[in-house]
Parts: sequence; structure tokens; C-alpha cells
Amino acid sequence: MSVLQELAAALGYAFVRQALLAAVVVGTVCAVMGSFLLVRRWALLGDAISHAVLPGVAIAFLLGWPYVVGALVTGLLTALGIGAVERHTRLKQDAAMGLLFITAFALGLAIISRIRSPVDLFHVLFGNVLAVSRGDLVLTAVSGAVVVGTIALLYKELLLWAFDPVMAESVGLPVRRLHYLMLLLTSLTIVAALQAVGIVLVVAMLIAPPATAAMFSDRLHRLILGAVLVGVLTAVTGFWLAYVFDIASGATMVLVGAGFFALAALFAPRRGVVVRALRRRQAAAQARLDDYLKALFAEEAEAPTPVAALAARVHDAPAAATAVVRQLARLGLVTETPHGVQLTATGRRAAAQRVRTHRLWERFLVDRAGMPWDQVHQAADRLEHVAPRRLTEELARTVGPQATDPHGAPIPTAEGEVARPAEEHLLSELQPEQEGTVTRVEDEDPDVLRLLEATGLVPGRRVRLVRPEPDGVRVAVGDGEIAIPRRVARSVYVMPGR
Amino acid sequence: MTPAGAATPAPAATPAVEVTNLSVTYDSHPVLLGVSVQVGPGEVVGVVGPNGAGKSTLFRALVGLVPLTTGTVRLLGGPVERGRRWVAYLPQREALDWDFPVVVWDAVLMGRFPHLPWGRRPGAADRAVAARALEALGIADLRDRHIGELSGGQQQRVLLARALAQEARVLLLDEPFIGVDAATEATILALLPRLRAEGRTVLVVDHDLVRVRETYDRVLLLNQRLVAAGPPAAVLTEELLRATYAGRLAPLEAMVGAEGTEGGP
Amino acid sequence: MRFRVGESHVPTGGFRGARAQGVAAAAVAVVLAALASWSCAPSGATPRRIRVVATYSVIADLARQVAGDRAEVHALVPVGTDPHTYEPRPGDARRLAEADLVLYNGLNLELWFDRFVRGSGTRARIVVASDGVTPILIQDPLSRFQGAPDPHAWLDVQNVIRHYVPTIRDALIAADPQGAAAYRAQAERYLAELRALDAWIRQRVAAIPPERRKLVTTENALHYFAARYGFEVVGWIYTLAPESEPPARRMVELVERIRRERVPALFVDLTLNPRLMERLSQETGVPIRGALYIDSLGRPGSGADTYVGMMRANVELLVAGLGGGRP
Repeated sequence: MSVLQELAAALGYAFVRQALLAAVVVGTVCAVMGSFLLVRRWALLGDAISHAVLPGVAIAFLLGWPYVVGALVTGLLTALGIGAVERHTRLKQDAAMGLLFITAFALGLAIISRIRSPVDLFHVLFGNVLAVSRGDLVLTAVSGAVVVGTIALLYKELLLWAFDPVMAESVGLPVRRLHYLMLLLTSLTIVAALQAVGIVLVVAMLIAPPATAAMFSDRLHRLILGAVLVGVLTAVTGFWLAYVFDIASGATMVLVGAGFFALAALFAPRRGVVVRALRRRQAAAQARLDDYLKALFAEEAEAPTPVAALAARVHDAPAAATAVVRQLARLGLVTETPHGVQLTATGRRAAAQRVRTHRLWERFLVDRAGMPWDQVHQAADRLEHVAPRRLTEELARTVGPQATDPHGAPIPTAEGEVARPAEEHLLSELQPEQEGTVTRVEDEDPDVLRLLEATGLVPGRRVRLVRPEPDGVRVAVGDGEIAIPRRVARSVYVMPGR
Repeated sequence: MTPAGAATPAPAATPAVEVTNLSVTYDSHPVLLGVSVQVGPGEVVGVVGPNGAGKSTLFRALVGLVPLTTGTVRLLGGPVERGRRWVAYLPQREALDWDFPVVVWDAVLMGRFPHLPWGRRPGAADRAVAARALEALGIADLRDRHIGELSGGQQQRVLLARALAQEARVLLLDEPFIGVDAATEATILALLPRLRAEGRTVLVVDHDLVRVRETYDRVLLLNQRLVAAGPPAAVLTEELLRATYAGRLAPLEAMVGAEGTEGGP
Repeated sequence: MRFRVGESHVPTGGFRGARAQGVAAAAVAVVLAALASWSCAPSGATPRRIRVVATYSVIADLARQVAGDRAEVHALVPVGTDPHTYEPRPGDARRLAEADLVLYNGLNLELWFDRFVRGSGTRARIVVASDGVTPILIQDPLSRFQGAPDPHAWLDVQNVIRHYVPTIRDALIAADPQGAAAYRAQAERYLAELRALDAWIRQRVAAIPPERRKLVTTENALHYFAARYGFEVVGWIYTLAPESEPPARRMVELVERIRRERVPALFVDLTLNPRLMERLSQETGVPIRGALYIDSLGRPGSGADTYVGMMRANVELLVAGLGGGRP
């Protein structure tokens, strides 16, 4: 008989149906109550109350009372005791909790060890869902209904109290009473869950499904619904796995609950660890493509760019560059020719847009943020990858109509057109006594930029080449003459003429 | 100018907030001593004082969050218990749990809860009020955003929108300008005259004396006691500020001196 | 033993004077002397009863029957408590240390015994009462005790006649040779009673039609009894380890087997939680007809507070439950 057939056959037995139903009810009620415990950061308090019901159960056995009564009484007493210890001694909540609930728990152990067999103790601690009778089921269902019903009825008050207890109190909500009500409901939830998972494991059913749901929801009511879904799934899956593999059902349910949480923490669409890592990688890959496009845009005059040169420009290894180029080709943004890489029309437009964004950022940083021009290139590099695309037009509006970036390079239009300067020569290639206006400068080297600023060789300035020198050129700019090293001279573009 | 509001003309209608001889003590440390003041409807009042002066405590006393050692508080002409649902107390933003699973809309809609009886859900009218509040604070496009994803200024707007949704007659704002962007500050400053025009009362704890001078109808100088109460020009004198800040005046001297008032060499 | 009081640690001077010193010294001497007399062995002037410690109530009763007045018998596991998973208390260790003779069942019954004995440091004689029994091995693939000996040998009266009582008698004689004659006589008398019990059981059981002699109990404990008296063990919930939750599958299989074999009645163990058996009863419609004394005698006054009483009570319950007539 296949597993599924076996499970279907198992449903033919009343005790299996009762057990499954008990598990589902427990999963639901714990999810609802646990959602509030989660958002109020009361998880540990839930654990404390669950341990503290043990002496109540034991004393109820002793006196022949229904164990519900005993459990509720000691659960609530312990919660109150924790509050009292906190208020009247120097102990903080965690120490007060630990002290009281373990004392209560030990008291319970002591009493039970004198009056009942270890089997009962084991079942109280860890649950035995198979032993759930119809009477137990009714009790669980009624307790559960009280908890869920109260929370549903008072939902908006509980929401306000949980989110902003200060406002709740200040507008007159009886916060103290709500606090005790929630403690009482927690105790009732634990009593309902006693048979299925026992008091040691119940805190997992209280916390894991809401924690899982929290990975997917921004709003409390959705969190609660999600928690219920997860809680029911946990109970059912746990029960069936315990059936198939002959393991204790309480522990299996808890493990399944933890497993769901792990899956959610890793893979939840917005908050999952794996998802976020993937998105980061995706962003990094996209940034890389953008850098290549920009580099191609800058490099090519009319001729294609050899891959090696492209690699050098983006500071990448040639092998890596080849892979990126291939990807760009697949995307239809470049074509590979024997002489090198060339942008396609689509590629040109895409590259121009990225260049536009970059240069707009540079303009913004210099004009509005007062950043020195030797720092803006690196800053813009980072900003353009991080900022959303729609920001680009906002930027354009903010900086106003600008033709060039701070280094003189033309800013492409929104359509991808870029103005080409009429005639541009490198400063180092000027003829002696030739004059011209600086149009733009290379912006990658901060040292060069600082030197240019210090010497006054900035876009818009008139400059005259005096004479070439062994290691550079001598130029006249402003009032005086200065010697410019070759590599600096090769960073300055001049438009000759008046 | 004499302190304790004696020379301040009492507001014409029943005061929105009436404090008489209020004292609050924590663990035998006095926090507020004998504070008496009346803030009438339609007033925007600044509360100024050093750290630990009891400004936050004063607000908390107004909404019944701290026990009064002596004195009385009356809200909107009646006892605190009756009036407090018309009072919006906005503590400093750190006090809130911004990780809580609510979006902006949920938070603002909560402003309606004080007026709804137990078990009743907000109706269409309530939702309309909340929506208008979002518009007034310019955050309508943020309504589905989780509150943890908001900037400081946006958070402050949410809290104010919630107070508007509450249709609060009295707003108590504790340092609303800290950590907000210029646009939000401008929005808040633009909101104040509107509230005044609607006959609402706003008390604002504010530390920026320049803004205080320009913004508020009256200023309360508080340092455990009410040092002075009156129009900013009258109250923000070096002598009174010195009495209020007792030793922490150095950086403020420059401000007061630069703006140029009477008094001071 | 000599105690040098003069060199005791009574503080000198500054402590209300020499009179106090004298009183303190005397008090110390008295206390030390009392301790000395308590821990020293008696010189043998007064005969005292030998101290026998049995692990649980069934063996304790057998020992009492054989030893009579000559021994003081104490059972570690209280009546009504499960001996498989018992947790010994500090008082138990003390009794063990002071015992002359320790009797235990062995055969995997007292899973806690070995470590406990080693820890107590007792110098008593330790005797396994079931010595000589031919063990039946446990057949339960789902249990970790699969293939190990089943401990419940005492439920077959023949085992008690042939092995338990002789072993206990010989152990008593070895621990207390002066009582040899008494022990032998008492053992003989008791064995006669046991033989009569065995015959009575056989005769009584005959009242149950063979096809109805099907046993379902909480614990897997009746194989010796079933083999001797002609019953068939159809099913059980726990094998030797009642603290763990039985697998759901076992419950399902049990339900099917109970239906298939048309078991007339179910029985629970007095020392174990009956709730799971109640589920089986609810599922199959077969009633629970009684609680059997298996791992423990009954409480005083229940009629089952001796071994003989216990076996009689069990058999009457089985006969009544499985459909035999009244005598």
C-alpha cells in the first residue's frame, strides 16, 4: 500500500481523526495567540506560562478537579508573580521570569513524581495526540473558540494596545486589564494545546507559525491569517510525518514548524536571505554591464574597440571582459567584429542613457552638494547603480538645463543624443603657439583633476601651448606659464581657435 | 515680563488645557513642581526647557499616563478621563515599535479607534477621515508602505496624520522636528496655523529657539517649575532663559544675542 | 573507638568562661559517642531481624512469605508505581547501603538497577530472584528490546515455584544461617500454597472457551502467563518503555488485529495510563473489562496485596471479562 493510500486508510479510524482534528485546532489557536505574542515580544513569557501550568495540572490531579482549572490558575498566578517581582525587586523581566516559572515547574515535577506515573508526566510535558478523547477534543475546541473569539471581537483594541500602548493608555483604553486578559488567553491557549503537544513544546507552536508568516506580511491581520495557514499545515504535516516514520507527533510538529520557518527565512520573496543575496548579485551584474556600456560609449569614435582596451578601461581581466561582451552581444547591445566591439543602435541608446545618468549625478553633486570635482566621478559611479531609474529625470529637473558635466563632457539628452564638439585636440598635441579653449578633461584620476584645478586648466579656460618639453608641455594659462607633465596634458581636450 | 502666566490674558473660552498646581514625583525625585497654566482653544504653544525639565512628563500628566502628586488637570473643560480621547499625544519617535506589522494606512486609521465603541469596526466615514488626514500631510502615496520603511520625516507625518484622523482637539507634540527633513518641517509648520484656525490647541516641545521665536503664540519656559509663560518676544529674554537653563546657556547666548532683543549687553 | 575530647575544637577563653567550655566539651562527647554506637556493628547480644531490600512489591511479598518474622523486608518501588522506569530516591540509597540482602528480578525489569547499586556502595549480598528461569524473548520489531529477555516471569506460578522461591530461600539462608530451619519450613509451606494456586488457575481458566482466550493489555507482559495457562497474546501498546509515545501505526495495527481476532475484552495495567487503551476501546467497540496487576501488588485491603491474592484477582478478572461463567 502506498503511503498516500495508507494515510487515507488511517483516516478511517476515529482516534486518528480526533488526533488530527486536535492538532489542527491547536495549530490554529496557537497561531492566533502566538501572533500577538510575537509582535508584543512576549515569546519568552509564553514559554514561562507554559511551564508554570504544570503545578496546576498536578494539583488538579491531586484534588480530582479538571486539569483546566488548575492550569489556568497557576498559569495566571505565575504571570502576575512575574510582574510583581519585576515591580518590587531590582530584577528585570528576564530574571524574574526565569526564577518564577522554573520554580513553578519544579513544584509541579515534585508533586507529579509523588502521585502519578512517569507516563502521565511525559504526556503532560510532550503531549500525546493519539490519546485525545472526544471529551478532550471538545475542551480544546471550546478553549480555542474562546481565545479566537475574544481576539476577533476585541481586535482593534488589541491592535492599538499591541502597537502603541502609550497611545492606547492615553486615550483611555484599560491597558492593565487588556494585559491581564492577554495573559489569561495565553494560559487558555496552552491548556488547549496540552494534549497535542504538551507544555514544553507548545511555545514552538505559538511562535514558529507567526514568525514564518512575518516573513511575508506587512500587516497584522494578514500575519495572523498567514500564521493560521502555516499552523494548520504544520500540524497536519507533522502529524502525518510522525505517522509515516513512527516518531512522536509533538516533536515532529515542532520540527516541521521550524522547517517552515527556515524555508521562509531563506526564500521569502522580499525578506528571504537567499532572495536578498540573489538580488544583490543581480544588481552587481547589472552594474557591471552598465560600466561596460559606458566605457564603450566613451571609447569609440567611429572605430570598434578592441576587447583588451575595453578591459583595461573598466579595470577588468581580458578573460572576464570577453564573457561580458558575449552577454552584451546576446542582449543585442553590441556586435563583435574582428577589430573589436561595437555598440549597436540599441546599445548606443542604452549606453547614452547610462552616461546621461552618470553625468547628471556629477553635475548635481558639484552644483548642489558642493562636492569637489575630483571626487564626483567615483561617487556618481556608485550612485547611478543604486538609485532607481526614474530618479534620473528628477535629477535633470533639479540641475536644470545643462549641457556638460563638471569635467566638460557633454550630457546626452533623454533620447540618447549627444552633442559632439566641433573639433577637439589633446593639449599635448597642440602646435606651439596654438591657442584654444579647454572643452573637457578626463575625469578618472583624482590627482590629475586636483592638479588641473590648481593650475586653472578647467573647461572654458583659454590656454596657449608655449612649447613642448621632454617630459610634457609648457603652457600659458591665465597670467602665467606652467609646465604640465605629459600624462596630465593627455587628459585635457582643447578646441583650437578663438 | 513676570512668570507663571499672571500677566498673560486668559483665553476667552473655556481653556482646552487647564493645569492647576501640578506636581509629579518619581521615586521621591521631583519632576514637576507646582505648574499652573491655561492653554485656551485655538492656541499654538511652544514648551521650552533643558533636558530633564519635565516637559515630556507634563505631556504625560495631561493624558493621565503618570500619577499626579498634587494638583489637577482639566481637559476641554472636564476631567481627564472624559477629554482624553480628543487629545493626541505624540511622544518622541523612538518610543514606537516601527517594526510592527502595520502599513501607513493602518497606523493612521488607528486614530479613529478612540471614538469607536468596543467591538465596532471602522466604517466608511472613518475611512474617509483617515484618507483626508493622509492627504493633509502629503503621504497619501505612502499608504501601503510598511512603517519601518519610512524616513524620519515620513514617520512624523504618519503620527500627525493619525492625530488628524483622531480629530484631536488638543495635540501634544514632543520634539516633532528632530530628525526630519526640511520638507516635513515646512509641512508641520504650515499645519499649525490650520489647526489654530480650526480652534484646536497644539503644545509643542521645541528646542530650536529661533524657530520658537517665529512660530508660537505663546511660549512656556519649563524647568520643573513654570519659569515663564507668554509671547515669545517677552519670554525669550536672556534673563529668563538663564533662569530656565541654569548653566547650559552658552550656545544659546549666541542665538539670543544674534537675533537681537532687549536686555543683554 | 576512642575519642580525645580534650583535644576537641572547643574555643578557649572569651566565650563565657570555663563553665561553658566544660558543658560544650561534654556535649561534644555525648554526640560523638552516640554516633560511634550507631555506626558500629552490634556485638551480637540482641538478635535483630535481617534487612532485606527487594526492588518491587511482588518480590518483596515472596521474600516476606519465606522469611516470616526473621526478616524486615522493604520494597524500593512503591505499590502502584511502574518498576521499569522508577527513579530511585536518596532514601533508597541509604536502605540499600544498610541492607543485608538485596533481591531483584533481573531479566530487564529494573533498567535503573545496575547504576544505582554501583552508586550506593552497598556491601549486601545481591541476588537475582529469577535465577534459573528459562526466559521468553521479546518479539517486537518496533522495540529496542527486540530479542532481549522478557522480565515478567513471575506471572507464571510454576516459575515462582521452581525458581523464585527456592532462590530466595537459599539467599536468606546464606545471609542468615541461623534461620535456615525456619526458612526451609516456611518455604515448604508457601510452595504448597503456590501449587494449590497453580492448580486452581488451571481449573478456573478452563471456564473460558479456548477461542476467547485472547489477551490485549497496555504492556507487553503476559507471555509467560499465556504460555503456561493456554492464552494467546494478541496485542499490546508498550514494550518495556512506557515513557515514549507509541507509534500511530502500532495503534492502527492493533485495532485491526483486535477486530480480526474478535478479542472479547481489553485490559489495562494498574500502573500505566489507560487513555490509549480507551481509544482502542472506542475504536473497536470492545470494552475494557478490568485493570490487571502486573508489575505491582495491589494496595493493602484490595485483596491483591499478596502475590497469591494478585494472581487470583487477575484470573477472576480475565474469566469475567473474557466470558467464562462464575464458580
